[in-house]
Amino acid sequence: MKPQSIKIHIIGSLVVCLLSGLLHAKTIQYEKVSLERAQIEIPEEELLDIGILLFDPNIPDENKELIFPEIRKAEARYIPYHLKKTLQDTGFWGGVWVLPEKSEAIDLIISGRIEVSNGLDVSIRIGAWDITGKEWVNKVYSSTIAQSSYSKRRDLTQDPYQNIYNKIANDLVKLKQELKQQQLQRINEIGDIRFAAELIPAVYKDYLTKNKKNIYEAQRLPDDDDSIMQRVYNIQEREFLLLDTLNEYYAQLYENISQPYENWRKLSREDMITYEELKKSARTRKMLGAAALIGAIVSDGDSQASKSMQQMAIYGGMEAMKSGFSKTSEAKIYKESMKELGTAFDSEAEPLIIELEGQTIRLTGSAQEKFLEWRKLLKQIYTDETGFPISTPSVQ
Amino acid sequence: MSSDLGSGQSASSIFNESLGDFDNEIAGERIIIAAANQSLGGMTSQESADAAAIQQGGLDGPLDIDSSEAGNSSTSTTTGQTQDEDSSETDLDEASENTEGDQEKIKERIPDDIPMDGTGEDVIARQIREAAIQEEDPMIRAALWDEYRKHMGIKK
Repeated sequence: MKPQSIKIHIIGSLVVCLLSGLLHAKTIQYEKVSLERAQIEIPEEELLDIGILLFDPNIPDENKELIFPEIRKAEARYIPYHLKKTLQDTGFWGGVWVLPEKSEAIDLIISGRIEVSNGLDVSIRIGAWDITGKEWVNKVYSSTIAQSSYSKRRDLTQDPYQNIYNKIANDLVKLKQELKQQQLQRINEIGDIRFAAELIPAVYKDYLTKNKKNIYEAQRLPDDDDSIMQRVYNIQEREFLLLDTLNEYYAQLYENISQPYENWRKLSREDMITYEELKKSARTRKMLGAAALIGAIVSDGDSQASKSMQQMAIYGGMEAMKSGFSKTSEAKIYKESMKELGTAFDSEAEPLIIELEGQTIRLTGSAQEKFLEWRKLLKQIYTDETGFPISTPSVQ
Repeated sequence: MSSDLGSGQSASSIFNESLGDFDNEIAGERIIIAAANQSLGGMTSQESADAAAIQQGGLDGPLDIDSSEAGNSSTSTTTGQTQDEDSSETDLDEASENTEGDQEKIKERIPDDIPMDGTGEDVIARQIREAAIQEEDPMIRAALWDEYRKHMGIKK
């Protein structure tokens, strides 16, 4: 290949690279997802209870820039609580609670993991399973958040990430609506038996079997006058009472961090946009500078005009490179700013999380003692009422 | 909370009593929660967050509320919120030795359009202000003040 064609080839390649970089400029697409709400009251037998487990904050083992552990921990409690509010708002469901751990008393369990949350982009993996073991949802929900989502003039019951919540709620409703009334009722019944089998397995375990797909099926149902089952329902009511109380504590955290969390997300979003733009601008300028410099170096004209052009290209290339480096250092400032903001909210959230954890552990610890006591009593009552002793060790 | 099956009571009546005990415990818990909510009832979420931050400042080290109310911005050496524990003691010693020159330096670092007394600041704004005041690099300092303006809605 001749030197002239090599020169043209190199410059051509650089121009193509630059153009492709410029053409792939990110255009942010904002979406608006409306929440589907029930138009009529749903009959009680078609209502399913939902439990939303505290989310996995997904904090990396190694220190990763711009992921703040305490913010993630706060989000792992805040997001499930707002999802609970959104699901309640639809009118399609029975009780909806945030759960510190899995409960056999709930028809549908939702779990989540925070993949990304920086005020601009949010991405959350959601899993949902009903009490029979059937998977409803297992997917990642993502959204890019518009500036208007943070407006003080918006409907303040709507979280800036509301699109994500609405998408999850709409998907769940769609899946529920695909089920017939009989199927919904069966989920309720299997839920009751699983709760009973958890308390007194020797009596109720055989009411259920698992099919090839590992899904629970009811072999038989308790009689209407089953006195032990009535007591199981009494305990189930206490489980719901406990969850109501725990959710009061989650509500307190939600209220306390709501404003500072929104402020952090709003500022983080602005910084994130500026940071990304500066990084892109720095990259483009450096590439332009490099292209001009290489062009000047490979040009081989001997005339005075050619030499002047070469000098100008070198000067222009150097200036573009310098400008690129300047943009890089400007981007670093925004990164530092994001770190400062994150650190500030991180330290603000930490004591609130610790307090909530303390309250949750105290309350659930006390309740667990009661549940153990009730298990023992249920066995004794069963023996008293039927004359059949329960020998299997059901309580550890 | 243990059941006493040797007390002469049937398991069934102990069970019913135990349910009642649990209901009472939960009712007590709900009263505590309601009282806590009531004590925060007159405050907005932001005020509650500020109150918590002040409490946190009080636990970690003295918060220079007087000086900020009197018109001097609180300096990084007085909050201890973004400092680790080891450095906060040293900083407090230094704070007590603040000279007029230091105060002048702080004033110089606050742009004319930013209120000196931090009027209307929330926790985040205060953190940005402190970061800006202690920042040595003028470029970063300017960027932090821009953040402060954005947060507080101050037009440059």
